[in-house]
Amino acid sequence: MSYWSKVWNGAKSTSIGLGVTLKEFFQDPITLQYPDEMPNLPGWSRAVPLQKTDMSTGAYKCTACGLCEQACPVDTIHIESHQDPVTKKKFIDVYEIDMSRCMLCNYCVEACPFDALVMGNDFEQAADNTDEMVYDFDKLLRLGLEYSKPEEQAVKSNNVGGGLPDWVFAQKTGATLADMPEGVELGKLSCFEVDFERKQAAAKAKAAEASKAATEAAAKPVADGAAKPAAEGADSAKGEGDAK
Amino acid sequence: MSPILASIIKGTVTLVWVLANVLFLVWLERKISAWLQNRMGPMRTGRWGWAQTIADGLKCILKEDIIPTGADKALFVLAPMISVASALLVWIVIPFGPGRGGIFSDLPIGIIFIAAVTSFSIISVFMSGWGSNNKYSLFGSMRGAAQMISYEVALVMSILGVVMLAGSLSLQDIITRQAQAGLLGWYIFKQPVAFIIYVIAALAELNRAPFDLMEAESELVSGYHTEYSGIRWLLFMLAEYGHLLSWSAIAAALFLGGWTGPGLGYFAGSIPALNVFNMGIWPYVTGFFWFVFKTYLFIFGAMWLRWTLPRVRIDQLMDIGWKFLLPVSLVNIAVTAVLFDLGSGPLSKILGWYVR
Repeated sequence: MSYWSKVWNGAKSTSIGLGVTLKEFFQDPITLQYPDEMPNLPGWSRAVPLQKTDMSTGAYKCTACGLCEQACPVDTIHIESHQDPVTKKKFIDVYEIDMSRCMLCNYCVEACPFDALVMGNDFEQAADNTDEMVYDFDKLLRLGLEYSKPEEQAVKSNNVGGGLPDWVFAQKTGATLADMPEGVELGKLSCFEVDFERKQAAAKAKAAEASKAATEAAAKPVADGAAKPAAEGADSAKGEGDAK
Repeated sequence: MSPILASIIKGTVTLVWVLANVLFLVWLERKISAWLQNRMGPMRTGRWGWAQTIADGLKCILKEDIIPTGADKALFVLAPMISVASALLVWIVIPFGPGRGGIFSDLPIGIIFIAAVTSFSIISVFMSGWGSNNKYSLFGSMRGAAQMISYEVALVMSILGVVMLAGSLSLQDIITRQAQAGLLGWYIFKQPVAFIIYVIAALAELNRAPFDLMEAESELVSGYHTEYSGIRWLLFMLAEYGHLLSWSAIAAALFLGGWTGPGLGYFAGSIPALNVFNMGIWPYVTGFFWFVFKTYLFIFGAMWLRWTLPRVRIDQLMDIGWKFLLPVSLVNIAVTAVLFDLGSGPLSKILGWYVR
């Protein structure tokens, strides 16, 4: 390269470079002032596995089946439960996740058949010592409230239509303790109890219908079939008052 | 007012002016670098981080005073002081405003004084590199000495063209000549080649990117001030930004007409009431405004260049200095001299405006 073409190239590339930086100069900064502004995290960002609550009833969705405990590759989940002697359903006594060991693999969320777990993106989970990093059931439910919504049923919607299943992306609903149904305490009511209520309510409705039919057909002598479910409905009326 | 008192006042004002500007310049450098890179820069200390430099300065002052084992103590301690002294002394001959009141001391050899005083910083760089007992410091200062001596030549040669046109070495005279000739009389239009050479050589003199070879943090840890910390490092930074300020002010004085510029009194012809602004302290106020404005124009340019260009290699640096800047500036001097001495021939009628 000749002397003058070197000079020309130097001047040219310098002016091009200056133009590029000047263009950037007038663009808005991409910096996020983190503690002042929170990042708008995508649903797939993982920070902490949380327990969901059914906001229509206030019952926790976990059924203590233990599949998440088994799925966990690093043994962070610890579950203790008791079984109802009559219905044979399990209820949570202890549910702990050791967040100091959790590697956010999302396996527990994928393993849960009842859509009770969600991988939240609240990343500010630092603590001073490792004891505080063991999250008990209460804390998991409290943090999980933000992702909870009123549910139709406890079962995970299966992915029939193709595309991504619901649980892949955490969706913030922004629910708080104030959104809990009246008189229900967080983590005190199990989905089984709600399920039981629902069955009872169905039976009661059936009984009411039957008794209605019976009164309508009062002239007819055969009313034996309707008498029994009506008695059952009356028994469960007390427990129903709490839930509804 | 006795001359001693006047000197003390002028000296204090100059010192405060340099220190306050350095505080602002460090902040400005960080802000401009951030804006050029889609960042925000300091935002935490005060609104828009305005107190960042003050906080940094306080931190540096509170730091432990470290002198490395095996260092030459006298050289190590003296180097930052000499560096700062050279950055401050330049301000004696830089005019802030018109007349005797706008300058500390209107030396008739202003340009030579500047060249002499700023050469001190080469000595301080070499003292710090030699005194630190550190190979990186020594590398940095060797490079620095080679670079600053090479570019000093081209720098003074480029200024010579301006001096020939103005017929004086005093900065105040040079500005007055430009003020008399009007906007097109500014030497940036009469001496464009000298201007380009001045800008390149001044950047090299200031050790700013793309010529920051003596700091070169990716090659030499931090160059000549690797071993410095605390207040001594602070003094080096003070000198660096003081030099940036003074070189920009000199560039404004030499090529952009320094303090010349229209004030409110410029419109006195059409609105007689504005004639007030041509009297008393007002010419100094407008002069100071234009002086600061033009100086900061150059400072912004230097920062813009710094955050755009990569660092040149040492052999490229020497090539630019000796093979491009020096011959071109010599040719510029020769052309200026020929044009100046055209006499009254036909060429003089075409090109005479260039020198008059």
